[in-house]
Amino acid sequence: MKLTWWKWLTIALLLYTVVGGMLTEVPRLAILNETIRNLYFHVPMWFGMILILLVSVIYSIKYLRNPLSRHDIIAHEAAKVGILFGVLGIITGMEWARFTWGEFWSNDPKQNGSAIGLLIYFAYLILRGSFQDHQQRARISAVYNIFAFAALIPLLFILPRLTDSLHPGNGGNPGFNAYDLDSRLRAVFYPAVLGWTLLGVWMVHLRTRLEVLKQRFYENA
Amino acid sequence: MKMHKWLLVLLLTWAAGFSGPAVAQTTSEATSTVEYSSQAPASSSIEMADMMRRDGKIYIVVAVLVSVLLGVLLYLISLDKKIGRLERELRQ
Repeated sequence: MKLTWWKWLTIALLLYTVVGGMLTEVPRLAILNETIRNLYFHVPMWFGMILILLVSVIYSIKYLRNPLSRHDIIAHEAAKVGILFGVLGIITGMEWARFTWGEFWSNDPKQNGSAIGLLIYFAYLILRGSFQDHQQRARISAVYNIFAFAALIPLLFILPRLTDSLHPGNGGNPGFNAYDLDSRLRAVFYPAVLGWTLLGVWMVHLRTRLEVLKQRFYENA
Repeated sequence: MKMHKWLLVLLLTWAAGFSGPAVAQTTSEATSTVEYSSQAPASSSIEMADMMRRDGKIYIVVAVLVSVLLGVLLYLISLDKKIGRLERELRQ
């Protein structure tokens, strides 16, 4: 099979995540027990989402500086994949929360923040759909995308730290501590983040190519 | 895809930066954390799926997960190939 090297890297990292995530040693923590392994699947969804949405916002800025339809396509497709990761992050988080915090939704500031953030991004997709003119759609949604990303950062990373939160590393605590301090977790967690993010990049790559093909097809037809 | 390379370089340096010190810490942490491999239940009161591991049933779970993952990835690869073929056709 002929694949670019980073696609092979994606496959290798994801296989390592699943095998290593189930078989390596994890710290024995009260309440969490074996569910600490969700760290390799739930948290990378959010890391992946932020990084892919960062790609989206970079291409939105690039579009505003140089209005190529390719930039708009990448921004749009990256936003869609980012939203997919965010929805998966919310769902996996709710499942995990049900069995460790007791409820699917406990109005945790980080849960609420991520829900609001996703709603802002849903509005991006609706906004895009409401324009007839291609250039107008691309320009206005690029501007909106910048604001959406700027709103997401405080919602996920600043506001939850100002109040008490069930999430680790929040409620006055500095970044990663309790769980990530453990090097056994780190050995799988960082490759997992990279693997899942690359999977998202792969999806963006495919959808972008498909969209470019579609455009070129209609131009020729 | 210049952007992808850029992102990857950023991620790799970040991963390397965080994993590096982690390796260095292993020796110092090994003494302070609870031993996982110890079979005696007295050494660790927190319940883990130790029995499942001893039975070897965890490997069944891993096999299922790897199969699902490989299936999804193969699907993605075939999609990649199909789009590549279309791109080549359109260029001609």
